[in-house]
Amino acid sequence: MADLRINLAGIKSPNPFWLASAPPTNSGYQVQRAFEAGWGGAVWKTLGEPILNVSSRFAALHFNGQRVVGFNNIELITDRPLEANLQEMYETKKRFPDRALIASLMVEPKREKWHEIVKRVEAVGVDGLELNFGCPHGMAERGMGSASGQVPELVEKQTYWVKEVATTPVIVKLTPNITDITATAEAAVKGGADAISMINTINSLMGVDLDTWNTIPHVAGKGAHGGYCGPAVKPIALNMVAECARHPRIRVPISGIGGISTWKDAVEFILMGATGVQVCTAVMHHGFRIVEDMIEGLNHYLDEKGIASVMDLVGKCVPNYSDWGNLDLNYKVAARINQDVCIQCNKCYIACEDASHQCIDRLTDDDGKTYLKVREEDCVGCNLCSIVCPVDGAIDMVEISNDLPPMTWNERQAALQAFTNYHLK
Amino acid sequence: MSYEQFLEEKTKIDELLQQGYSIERVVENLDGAFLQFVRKARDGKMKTQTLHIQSADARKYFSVRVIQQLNNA
Repeated sequence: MADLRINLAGIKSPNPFWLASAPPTNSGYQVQRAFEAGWGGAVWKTLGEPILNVSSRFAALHFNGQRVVGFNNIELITDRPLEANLQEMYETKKRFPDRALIASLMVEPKREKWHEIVKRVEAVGVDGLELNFGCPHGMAERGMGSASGQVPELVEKQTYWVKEVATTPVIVKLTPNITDITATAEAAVKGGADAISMINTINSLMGVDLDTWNTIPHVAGKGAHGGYCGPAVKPIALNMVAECARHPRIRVPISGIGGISTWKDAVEFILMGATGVQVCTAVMHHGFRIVEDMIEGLNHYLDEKGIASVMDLVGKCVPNYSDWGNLDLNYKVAARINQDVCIQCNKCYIACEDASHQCIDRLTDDDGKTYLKVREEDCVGCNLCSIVCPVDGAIDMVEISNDLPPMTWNERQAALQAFTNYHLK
Repeated sequence: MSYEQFLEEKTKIDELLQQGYSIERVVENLDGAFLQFVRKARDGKMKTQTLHIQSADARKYFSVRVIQQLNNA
């Protein structure tokens, strides 16, 4: 049994799986049931001045028979009074002292507002705070959430205000609705953040009803953008985590969020620099007990790899992530079709012919049987044929050796510049 | 751009280098790369040759040769 305990900026939990601040952490009843199921921590649904919600709040994207590939919501932060939440948080922490209980906070960008809520929340014994600078709908129109989180100066200033009075670790939750998330991450660090978490949800409109022409969801015939999450956003979140993890001036732990549904997703985030992960959509889809598989899967993975502690995985893949200009231009892979596995569906041929580099030939053998063959010398290694192929193992992408030394675009451009300078002498 | 075009362009580059030419100048623009090669002839005069390189793989190839030439300078 591997050691699954994590320590994220001083916040300890028995495993890296936390519930994200969202509907599943709306009440003590829910969070305590989640802890009973095995969750290592929970970020309580965002506390602030109690809001008013609309009815009809969620929508989902289903794709090709798979339900909830993406999820959209227009629900706001807690609609319950602060004191009611605090009482339940106190009781929850008392009952589960070994679990990480984090309070997500959102107030107007005013120093005294932050001071007040931080003091009141910390008094009930939470293990840390998460500043919600990411919620993209509703609250943003009032200057909070992502409206604050998109402005580095506001992120830095508000983090600083919180740190003036906070006695527990402060996590700053970042919005993905920004061109470069490292700008706001760096601002959070400058403000004194002990950790950052990402991503909050992405601005989205789930769809339009073709019969009624109403948005999905709609509220009495009107719609507004919501926040998008779920498995579809995982690649976006993973990139943002990795970009922050490899940034030289962002040297704080990261709590990874965004489409994490399985232990495998969690491992990817941890390898890319997250110390722990937060989960929401998968729980909204399948319930709290998915954590059992997550814990078991992570345990087996670590045991199989001979890794004693999950903390030893943190950031192991970060050195492999770089800029495009540092990739080897002379590395080559090519597609190879396994004739004994191929079912001759022609998906690869059509994809290559219509959308890639026309390097698959349809040939006929001596017995008159047709087969597909890649002209490896013309194949650019785009992977499209293997992506569209419906049969596992029918197409392999294989490394093609050549006698050229590694050469990146950056090395090439530097060499050409040096070459020009040399000949101008 | 086919593999044949790459081979054709690579062969031209290799031939000039084997004949004693060295790459003197590289100009890259919307039409690809123009390589100017120079060689000192027996009579002491400088001879020049220009290649228009269009295929991506050949542009990678001459870049490697430029780096090698630079490293040997």
